[in-house]
Amino acid sequence: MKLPSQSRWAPALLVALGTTGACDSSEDDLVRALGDPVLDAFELRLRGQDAARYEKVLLGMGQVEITSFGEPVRFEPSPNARAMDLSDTDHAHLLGRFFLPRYVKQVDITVRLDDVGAFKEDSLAGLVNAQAGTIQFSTTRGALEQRSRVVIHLHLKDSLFEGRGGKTLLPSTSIAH
Amino acid sequence: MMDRKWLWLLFIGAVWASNAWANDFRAGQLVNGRKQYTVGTYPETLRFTFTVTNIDPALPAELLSATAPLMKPCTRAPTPPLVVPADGQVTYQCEIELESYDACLTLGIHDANPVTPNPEVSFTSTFSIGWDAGASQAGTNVLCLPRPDLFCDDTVYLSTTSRALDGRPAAPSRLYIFDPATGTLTLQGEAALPYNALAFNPFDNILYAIASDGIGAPRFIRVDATGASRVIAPLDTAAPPSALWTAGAVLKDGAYVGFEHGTRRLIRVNPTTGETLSEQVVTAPGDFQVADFAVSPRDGQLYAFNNATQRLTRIDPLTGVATDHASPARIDGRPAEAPVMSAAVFTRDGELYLYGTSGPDTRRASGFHAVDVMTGHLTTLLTRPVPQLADGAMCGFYLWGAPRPRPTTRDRGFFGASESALLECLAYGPISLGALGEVSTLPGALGILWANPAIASNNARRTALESLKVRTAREALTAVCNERVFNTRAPALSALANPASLDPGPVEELRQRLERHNHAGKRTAIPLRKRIFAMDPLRAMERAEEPRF
Repeated sequence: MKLPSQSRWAPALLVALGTTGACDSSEDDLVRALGDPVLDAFELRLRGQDAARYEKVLLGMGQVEITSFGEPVRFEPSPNARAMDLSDTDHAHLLGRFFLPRYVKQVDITVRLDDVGAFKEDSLAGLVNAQAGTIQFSTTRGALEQRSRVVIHLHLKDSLFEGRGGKTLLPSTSIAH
Repeated sequence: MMDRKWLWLLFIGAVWASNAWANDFRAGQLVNGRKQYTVGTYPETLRFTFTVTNIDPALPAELLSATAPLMKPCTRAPTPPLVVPADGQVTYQCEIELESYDACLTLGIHDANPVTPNPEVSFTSTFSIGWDAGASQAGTNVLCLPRPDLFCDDTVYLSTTSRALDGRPAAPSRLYIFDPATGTLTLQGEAALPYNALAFNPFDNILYAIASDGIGAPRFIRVDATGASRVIAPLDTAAPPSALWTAGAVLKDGAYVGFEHGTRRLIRVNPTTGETLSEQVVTAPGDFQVADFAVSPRDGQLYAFNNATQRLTRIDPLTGVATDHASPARIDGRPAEAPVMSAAVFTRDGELYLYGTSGPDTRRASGFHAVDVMTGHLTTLLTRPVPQLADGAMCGFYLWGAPRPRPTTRDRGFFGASESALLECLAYGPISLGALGEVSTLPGALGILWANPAIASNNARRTALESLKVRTAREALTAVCNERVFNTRAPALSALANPASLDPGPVEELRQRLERHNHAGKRTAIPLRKRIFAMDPLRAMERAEEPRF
């Protein structure tokens, strides 16, 4: 049976190996959060996968709601979420950071992408209708603490379909910590 | 140099740590075998298929949850938690009976998509799974139509069929809507049989065609907005069963007229009963190969492209006499390179368009062309790769008193990507958005249309009020442009009238009303005379200037 990694030193190991170069470097929120004795900061990221023939898939963050048993959790959006090129599958775009009080063990996350995006495929550009681009999932503090982040993988090949006037986004996602 | 033992330990550590990145499962979902499905008749059964795939090729994994909130009545067996073997898959089936159009809309009220139901998507079904180290999600869209009716507008319908080596149809035909602004083909649905000779009947707003597979007797059929077909009657013709009917149109007297490629037969059919009214052989001065024709609303003649002579040709539907244009067609001012036109449509304005392929054997491309009926020459409007097309159809004339489609609207993405449409909008003068300011330039308008509600272009985070202003300004500008470009009256912007105070409550109400308005007429075609045949959202984004409210 496959077991989840519970390693807390795995991130440090990856840093040592130089494999986290794709992440963003604005750490002000993190620093601020680390200075807060009762809050833990976690990153929320979005990464494209299976880009296939797409030369560009530009989507913007619309709204992020994070709650724990209905109570809102503080979320601070990242400037990088304004226009994310998800065809760059090496990069996990930072949507923002959320801050959990120590007693919070589970969170519900809803990411709504901005309703219109754009793509380029075979040198031709077009619109992405992202109205159905809502991604919802729940996660636990235990899973979040593995790497202090949660990454939404958006499988582009299985998420973008021909629609009127462009592509329709029906998110096919997997969540990794 | 680092010791080899340390390198090996680091390698093992990295491999072990990468387990935390593994995506053990992938969720999948289809409705009636598709990601997007259209319902036009009720009751109809929707069959949802949910799949859970363990994508790890080596290890089993434990699935902890599988939920589809709209499918609560369905039992999912085996029930999680359960172990799925490596590369294994669990499939759940769920059938729901849509009793009525209203029942479909009710599902849209309760789904996770905040903008459903709307004229393009009635509801979104979301399937979510979870396991100890992650989660996965997959969705499908369902569109319910009150009736499977079409409307008389400039919608270009294209049907496809796959052909075997001997030229006979090999699979059921599919109905697409072609969008000339973007070159996209949107699947409407698949029929139960292969057909060709598609025609739009303005007398009842229904598509008609002839189903012929080259073996059995041909049948006269109707095709509805969901692409579904229904046989009206066997086609009473003297042509042999091996005949392949290729072209179809509805004349101004209400008769369907079809053309058979091998024997050159032209048949007139009563579309209501399928009864043959007359049949004759087309007389042409030379070679004659026509894949489709369309009726001119001006003179009632059938116009087609003669693929044999590479000339525009005209057929008198009463006498069956075909007359080629005096000179071969030129495409974009040059001699045509072996063009084969498979679809012909006339707009109600009397403009003829042809869809087909041309170019040298090594670089053949499909294109949508405007035709000058006087000169017989073609102008390429756009070129795109497309599936194998069989035929085209469009409403060629409007009948007084026939039901009208919703007034045309487009969303902000359209105006943010079509420079010609936005310039036409701005040509009427500055656009006042009340308390949100005034727009008069192309970069300024693009800046509003492409503004992100959460983050400004200078990377500043927007407050809730700033976000509301952005979202409202985008919809208000779009509504004004819909009025200016498509003559579709915009809702009043009275909630934005007072520059001194913007009350978030009424502004949010207005934003929602504007958003609904801007999406309400998206299924109605843009008149082809608008000449909107190019969209480039990426270029537009580059030109956008951040708005100041």
